Amino acid sequence: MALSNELLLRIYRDMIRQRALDYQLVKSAKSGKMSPGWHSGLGQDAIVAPVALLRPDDYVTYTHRGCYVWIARGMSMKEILAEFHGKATGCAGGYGGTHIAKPSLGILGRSGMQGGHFPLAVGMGISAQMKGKGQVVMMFFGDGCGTRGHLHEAFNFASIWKLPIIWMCENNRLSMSVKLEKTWAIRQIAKIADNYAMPGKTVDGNDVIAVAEATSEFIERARKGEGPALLEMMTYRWRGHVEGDPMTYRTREEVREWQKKDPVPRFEKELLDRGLLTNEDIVRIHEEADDEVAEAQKFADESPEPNPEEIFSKLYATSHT
Amino acid sequence: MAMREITTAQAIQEAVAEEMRRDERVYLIGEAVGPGGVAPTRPPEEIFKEFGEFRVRETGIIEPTLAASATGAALSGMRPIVDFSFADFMFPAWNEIYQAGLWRAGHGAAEDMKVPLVYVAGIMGYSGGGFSHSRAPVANIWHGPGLKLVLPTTPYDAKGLLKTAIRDDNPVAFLVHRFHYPVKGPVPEEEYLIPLGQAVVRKEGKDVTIVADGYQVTLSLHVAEDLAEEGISVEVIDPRTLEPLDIDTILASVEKTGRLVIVDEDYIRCGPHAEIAFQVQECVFKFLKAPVQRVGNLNVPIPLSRVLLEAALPTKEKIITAVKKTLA
Repeated sequence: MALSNELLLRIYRDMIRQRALDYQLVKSAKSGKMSPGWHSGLGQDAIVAPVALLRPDDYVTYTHRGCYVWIARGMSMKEILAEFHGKATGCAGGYGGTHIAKPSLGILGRSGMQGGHFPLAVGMGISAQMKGKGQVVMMFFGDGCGTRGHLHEAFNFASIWKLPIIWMCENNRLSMSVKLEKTWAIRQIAKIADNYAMPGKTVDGNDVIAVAEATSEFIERARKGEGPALLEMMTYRWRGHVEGDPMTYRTREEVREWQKKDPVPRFEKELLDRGLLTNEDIVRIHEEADDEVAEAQKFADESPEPNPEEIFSKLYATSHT
Repeated sequence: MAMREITTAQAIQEAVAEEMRRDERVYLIGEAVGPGGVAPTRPPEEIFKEFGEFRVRETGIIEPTLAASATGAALSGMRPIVDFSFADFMFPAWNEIYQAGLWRAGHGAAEDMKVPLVYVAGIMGYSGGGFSHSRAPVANIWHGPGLKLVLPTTPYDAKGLLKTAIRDDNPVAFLVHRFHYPVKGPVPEEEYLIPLGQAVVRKEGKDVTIVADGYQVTLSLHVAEDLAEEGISVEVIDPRTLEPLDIDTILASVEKTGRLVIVDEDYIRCGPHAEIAFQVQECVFKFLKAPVQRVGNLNVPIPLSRVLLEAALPTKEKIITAVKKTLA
């Protein structure tokens, strides 16, 4: 599939926006104003691209890391930052924190147990299949949670029933502090796709164009009812598992090497070469993103706390069919 | 209403089929739901043909996926019914079952998200299946915020409550005791629903109140008959649903009798008994004439041998002893 210029520019703008938001979350996590549990996705920013390829009525599950999915899907920075600060104006009313939800954008929530999204995605896939409208599910997972047995159950089931799911592996070779060599018996996770009778592919996860092209092929298959596929994106996270992680498990040199492979300037160069962007555009897009973040942080700071008297009111839906 | 006699198993199958006809978002999934299966909800061959393999979906052994896929499907507009066959098979999926209950409020009910699903399972109590094939995980489910819990004891209740559970916009666990599946009872030909949260006084009495659920209702009714011959008048209350719990019916009975025995097949320690007893003493302490008694599974793994099984699980004799203790 040829990626339209409009789409490439949208991906770029969202990469810059989510990166600005990620930096703010790193800062806010240290501020004491929000829960310190931010899992930065800096360095893995190209993951915006596959999400941008989805239809508005598709479903997507996200990992604990980064804010690429939420931004690429169209959530506002205000409702995200307010949620992380536990405010009533957050997308989950201050109840969820890292459990971001925006059902109208196909973001149905987050399982805090790693690997929890494999079977949840299966359910969304069953739903998409039964509705027959060509919807797909894009499920993101890291190499870390891919060692859960849930992966096996879900991959197997989805292939048996040809569910429209694209399994998106963010392989950053780290499960918290534990390296891939100690968590997986193989080095390329996409290899397992064969065993589940589905296509699998490994791409440079910091190359926006490569990621987008591979994903669009898999999305197309899934929409046609041809079943699931596995895409492995080789990438790297610059920051610790969570803010405050002393990162004794790796060297500064290793991080610096990967920072040279930063997906953002790489994509910028591509867009400059194609004549889609000017240097002035780049400066402007960065400034706009910074302004948007500042405004969202102000909104989060000034928003009201949730009302404790409403704590039971959320528990059960009072409706029925 | 025109009545006929059918078994609890048939009542359950009717409820599932009727709701699947009524609403195309309803589907059934589980390891043994196909025509050759042994699941409680397994529809007869013609029903399986009527709905096809997408709406009666047979699976492998994937309990966590059964439980969580239901949540994923429910959030995206479907109304799944998951059949675990045995309640013991919910154990590998506790994280996912709890998660179904936590999901809505855990996300602040964002955009009023809903998780309409039903987990059906059979309690295999007294089966001689040993420690992992005969448990009654009532407290496990009741403990989880956001879940509803239904324990039908008659064919009439099983059908009416299951239909309501399927239409409810929340996750509902529906536990049926294996001894009740083949029991026949009157069920109307016409459609009917039973609201969740309404207890039934199965037998009126004035001396002692027994609150029992599941198969223990049956045992307790036998106890009430036996004790009537000794001049002891026992009232038996079947809450039918623990979440929501009709505590008012229980309180009214205890205000009348002043004595309470709670019988449930789950482990006694931190069992459903303790929660009911607490709620009762909190509200009607001054009416209690004797300490509340509880009968349940001793805090040991359920053994295989018949002799050991009877030592561990509730029996008529143990319930009688408990009733008499409240009168001593």
